[in-house]
Order: sequence, then structure tokens, then C-alpha cells
Amino acid sequence: MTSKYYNAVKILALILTSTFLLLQKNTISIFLINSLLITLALVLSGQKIYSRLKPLFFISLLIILFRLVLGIEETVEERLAGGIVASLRIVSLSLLVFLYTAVTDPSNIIEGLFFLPKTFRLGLTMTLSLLTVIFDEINLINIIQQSRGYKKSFITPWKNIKPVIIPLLHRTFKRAEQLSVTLYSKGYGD
Amino acid sequence: MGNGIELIEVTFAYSKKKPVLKNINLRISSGSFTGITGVNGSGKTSLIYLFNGIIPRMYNGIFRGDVIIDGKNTRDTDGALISKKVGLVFQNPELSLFNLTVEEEIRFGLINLKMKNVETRIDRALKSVGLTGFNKRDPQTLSLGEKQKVSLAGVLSMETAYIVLDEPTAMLDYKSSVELYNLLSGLNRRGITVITVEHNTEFLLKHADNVLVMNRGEIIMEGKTGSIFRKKNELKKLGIKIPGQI
Repeated sequence: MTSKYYNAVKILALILTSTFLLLQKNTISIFLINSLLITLALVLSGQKIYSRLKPLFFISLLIILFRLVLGIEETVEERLAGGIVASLRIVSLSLLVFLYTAVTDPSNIIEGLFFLPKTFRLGLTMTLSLLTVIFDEINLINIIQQSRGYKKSFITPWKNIKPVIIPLLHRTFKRAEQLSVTLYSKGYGD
Repeated sequence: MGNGIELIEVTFAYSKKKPVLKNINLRISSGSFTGITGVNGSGKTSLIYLFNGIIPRMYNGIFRGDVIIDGKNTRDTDGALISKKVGLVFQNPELSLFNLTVEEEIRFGLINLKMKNVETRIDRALKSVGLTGFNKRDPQTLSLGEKQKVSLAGVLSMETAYIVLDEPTAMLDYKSSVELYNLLSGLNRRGITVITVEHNTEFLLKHADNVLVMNRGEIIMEGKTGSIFRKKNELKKLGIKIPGQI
């Protein structure tokens, strides 16, 4: 199988497994899938999985809590079971994507989407490539502003945004302008 | 070899305010190595955008005059055709690289311009800039110098007759800058016309045949490199560094 078909099959497998997880009603099946995914993630990515699981743990707790408080038409046992199943689903889906991205390069993801229109793939390529760059820039701008005495305020959080968002927007627009000029200079669209 | 680049009475303004390029008349011979220098905001980048047709196609400013590349006016020439003749390396590679691997970055232009022997061209271009084996690397993880080389490789792979570089050493260390200029000189010896915007006049003195000095949107000096850099007082007044060995 050529590389592009192999990558397309991987994406298809991800979509099918996610759909199966969403439609699955059997609690034991979901629990087994969840355990399998955690084991695989531990084997493949080691310590990285903990940073992924940490926020998921809080999200899961929130889901269970909401279900317990808001599911007034059910018994407490049903609410608790429902909350656990819903949070297991979310953890499983997140782990599934985590595993997929851990074993697949972004360039292979784009290659697997060969059947999509060229402009769409180009947009996706740019997004995947520049997303990390933009996050790095946010960190850098934060460091620069902190070195100039900027402190985050918890009382007026909206004031925290301005020193970061303005330079970020400026950089992003400049990047967008430069990218469009680069695309032109390389004959794109003609 | 082509007829070179000719600018006739070119004036350009990004908006209705004052023009960034004023009444430019210029001829760059095919096969030459031309350096463009001048203080920040003197119009150097806008000038080189004319060579690739980016101005006036990408910027809706006020444009007058004609830019002729190898006998063809850029107003009437297809953008892809200009890109096949003139390759442009931008000042900040961080802002222009967007693909997920180095080879895709280089392949991008080749596919757009429907060029043949894509893989051979990629390998050859990477070898030229000393990045053999970098094919599958993510450009965003490379050093600035390496990113600049990837940008240059993208242009080299297109095998254009003209290579235009906007402050190519602005982000490079001295060693990489020397290597880059040696590479450009080698390309020039093979018949490629090199046009480079450069603040470091030492590199221009060593490598360029001709130098243009810009100030406030005008070309105020033009001629052989040695004769331009001997005008020390005038250059000093303009804030341009006089190379040490002149």
C-alpha cells in the first residue's frame, strides 16, 4: 500500500473508532477501550500522557458533578453511572487523538487527506504548521512583556489581554501578508 | 541569457500619501551581481518587489511606469511566468515558511510552476545550501540560518535566471553569511543574475559588480562597486557603512 493510502486508512480508522466510541452504550466496552488506550498511550509516549490526563481528570470530575446536580429525573446511581460513562467517552476520544498524533507526523496527516481539494489541504498544512509557532509567539510575547514589568492581574483579567494580543495580532497579520506574498512569488494560484 | 531587468520611470505609493519609490530608472544586466544598499525605509524592499511582479499585483497602490524583465512588461506577463524567471528570497524566513517538511517547502514552488524532475531538483537544491538529508525535517524546528537556507533552496530548485534576496544576512551569523555570499558568487559565475539588498557593505565590496544606493525612495548613486564605495563622504552623510578595505 502506498504511503498516502496507508495514511488515509489511519485517518479512516480514527474516525470509525471515534464513531464507535460515541455510539457505544455498553459501559464495560467503553471501560475496556479506555483501559486499552491508556495502556497504549503509556507504552508509546511514557510521561507525556500524564500532562494529557491531568486536565482530562478535572473535566471528567466536572461532567460527573454536573450530571449529579442536573440529572434530576434519574436516581443518584443512574446519574453517577451516566456521568462516569460520559467522562470515559471523552477521555477515550481525547486519548485516541493523542495516540494518533503521537504516531503520525502532521505531514502524514495531510498526505492522508489527498482526496480533499488542494486549497483545503494547503490551508490545513498552514494551520498545522503555524499553530505551534503562534503558541510559541504567545509565550515569547509574555516573557518580553514580563521583562518590561508586566504582571498578570487576577482582579482585572481583561487588562491582561491587551499587552499580548496587540503584538500577537501585529505579528499574525504581518505573517499572513508575508505568506500571501510568498505564495504569489512561488506561482501559487496562477 | 536574457536581456536583464529594466525599470522605466517607476513610481509607487502604497497609499495616497507620499510615494515609496520615486521616478526610478534602472537597468540590471543579465549575469551581473548587483547590491542594493540604503538606510531603513529607503525603499529597497519595495524596489525588489517590482522585480518579481509583487508590486503592483499584490499591493493595490499607485503605480506608474514599466518594469521589463527579459523584454516582457510585468503588467502584461502571467505571475507564474515571472516566478519562473525571478526567484525571491525574503528577509525573514520565519514569516515565509509554512510547510510541514523541508522537502514540501521546496516542492511547493516546483509543483505550482509545473516543473519536471521535482525530486532531483529538491536534492540538488538542498545539496547546494549544505542541507543534504534535511528532507523530512520540520522547517519550524530549524535554526534561523537553516531556515534562510531552506528559503534559498526553494528558489534555487526553481533554477530561475534571476535571484533576488532581501537582506539575506540580516538573521545569519558571520560564518553563515560568508558561506551564503560564496554560494551566491558561485551561482553568479554560472550565469545567474544575483540582486541582493544588503546593509553589510563588506559583502557587497567583495562580491558585487555594481551597487545601487537608495535614499527616500530614490536611487541616488549607481555604478561599479569600487567607485561607489570610494565616495566616502557622501555615504557617511547617508549613514551607510564604508567597507574597511576600500
